Amino acid sequence: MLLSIALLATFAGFTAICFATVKRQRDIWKSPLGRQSALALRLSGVLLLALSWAACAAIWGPGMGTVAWVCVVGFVPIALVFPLAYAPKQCAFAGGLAGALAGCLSLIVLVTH
Amino acid sequence: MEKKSFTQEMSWLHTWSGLIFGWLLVPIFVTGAICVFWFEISVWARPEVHAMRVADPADLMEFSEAYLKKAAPDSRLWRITFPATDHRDPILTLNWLEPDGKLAKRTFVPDGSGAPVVTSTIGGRFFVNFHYALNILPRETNPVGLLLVGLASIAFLVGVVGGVVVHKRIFKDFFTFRPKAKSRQRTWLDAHNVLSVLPLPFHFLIVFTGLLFFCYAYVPSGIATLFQGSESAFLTSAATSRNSEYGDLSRTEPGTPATGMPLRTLYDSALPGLAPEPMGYIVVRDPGRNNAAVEFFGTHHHGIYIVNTPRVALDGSSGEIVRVMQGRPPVGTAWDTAAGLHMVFFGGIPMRVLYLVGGMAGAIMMATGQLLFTIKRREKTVSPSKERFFTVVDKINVATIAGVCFACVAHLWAIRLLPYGMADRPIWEVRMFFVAWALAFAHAALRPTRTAWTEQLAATAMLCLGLPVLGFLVPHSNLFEMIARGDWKTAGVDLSSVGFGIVLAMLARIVSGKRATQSLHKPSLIPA
Repeated sequence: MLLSIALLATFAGFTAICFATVKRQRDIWKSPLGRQSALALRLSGVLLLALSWAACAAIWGPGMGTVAWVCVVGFVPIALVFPLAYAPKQCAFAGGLAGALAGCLSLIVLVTH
Repeated sequence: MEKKSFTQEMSWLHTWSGLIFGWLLVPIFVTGAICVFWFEISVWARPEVHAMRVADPADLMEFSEAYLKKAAPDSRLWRITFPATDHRDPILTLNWLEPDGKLAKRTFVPDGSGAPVVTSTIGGRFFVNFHYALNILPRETNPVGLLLVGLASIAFLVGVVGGVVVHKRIFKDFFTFRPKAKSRQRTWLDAHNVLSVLPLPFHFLIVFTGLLFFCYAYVPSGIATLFQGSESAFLTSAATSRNSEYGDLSRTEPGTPATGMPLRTLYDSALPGLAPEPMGYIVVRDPGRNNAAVEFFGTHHHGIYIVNTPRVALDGSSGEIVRVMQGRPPVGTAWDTAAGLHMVFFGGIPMRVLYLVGGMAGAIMMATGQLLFTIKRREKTVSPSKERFFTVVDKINVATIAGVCFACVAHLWAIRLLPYGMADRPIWEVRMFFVAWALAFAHAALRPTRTAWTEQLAATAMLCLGLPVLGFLVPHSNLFEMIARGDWKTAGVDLSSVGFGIVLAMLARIVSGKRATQSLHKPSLIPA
């Protein structure tokens, strides 16, 4: 459960950071987002990456959790970058979905513990 | 001559050291990724220990003590290594020191029945031996393999730093992959960059800790000066040794015969001092004498360390606790943390899967770099002599990338298929790896490059997919039965093999150029 939160949050986080750039926004929208929306995307990306660290730390403790997090943030985005070139819209959608799922799962974990 | 810029110099270094050492590093990374699970492979290779109940340590202790009293009553040292509580290494190992100074060894199944482990196999250990010393052993007398691996590791770190300098647009191109770019070189370079930049912290960590692990062997002058070249003297002094704190036994004399406390009683008083780790192994010095010393060592599942396990020493005759130790001096701890980070004994299966993915990603990253070498150069006009050189490079690439995967699976096939009663079975298991690899080289030399890629990838895929089928020929190794009894760690070896088989089969299909969509956009990614 916690590990899937880490994986989903990392995927969502990198998707958010990726679509915070004007170049990527042009791939899926006609006109790029405003500066504030882009900033909000970037910020939520960073927060999602922080959530993924928190999930790793919850499984393994802060020390080992950080090692696991280095692996997770190293490899999960590879699963984003390659499909991104072929289907940017679906990737953005998957990223949003992953973020929502990570959020829901985190809530469930917080409530049940 | 025109002076080259720093970036150009770095580019030259990155390209050439990457190509030459990549031929060594890809096999090292592939075997390294596999040996994250070497304990699991060792269990997989020994049908008699599959999914066996692990008896209570106290019961195993009684059996071990009785066995050792009978087998080696006058030995100066016993060692009892308990089966791991997490079923990772479910074997009870008894060692004792023979009068001639050699260490005797007996292995038993973990259920307390006293049945010996009979399969003679190298298990997953070969992947470790190849990973750190290219199987050129023992490294103490012939350090060529170890030094080559060290040199390649340094080349890797140089390649990483050089790669960052050459790349320049790291953050701008962070998410960039252009499969429809006009030049094939662009697509491959993007793939190489994506696979290098994102996992860079992990790759740096894994190679740097690997170098640190054998730092004393790579730079032996310290040991030569201070310890007269004796590595074991250094290790004991550095207090990172697995050996007992009681130091060198040859300096002492055994005491008079005495009835000591039973190990089981000592274990009860030692256990609290080992927490949070469960017990790993016991070393008994001068058993059955009035100066007997018993040390209990914890395992290494709860921290990033491999030798700084908690330990408790007791007086064997009075049962008094002599010393409780948790933690080590700073330098020993730093070394041990690095070793722990490299060996990943911590964190359980999920952490090891992350490491496996990391190692494979590293191997693929370097493989893309190797391929890029000729792809890039062939986009310009090429003289016949250069073309000949590129053909040789292509062929070595096939054999060191696809060929080494083929050899690894062939080795697993040998572990399953060689007759169990065969003399020197472990040696032949290893030989089959090298025979298969030599075949891969010969095959790559004889076939056109693209055909060689396709055929070797397809052959590896078939071996991977066929591996679980062999389990039906061996007792207790039927995949369905293993799953039914919940033995996921052993079944995991077969299941991952199938997973890799599917991926490799897909790769083989893409490389063969039979996918219609590929040819619409551009020529196939692999040169013909």
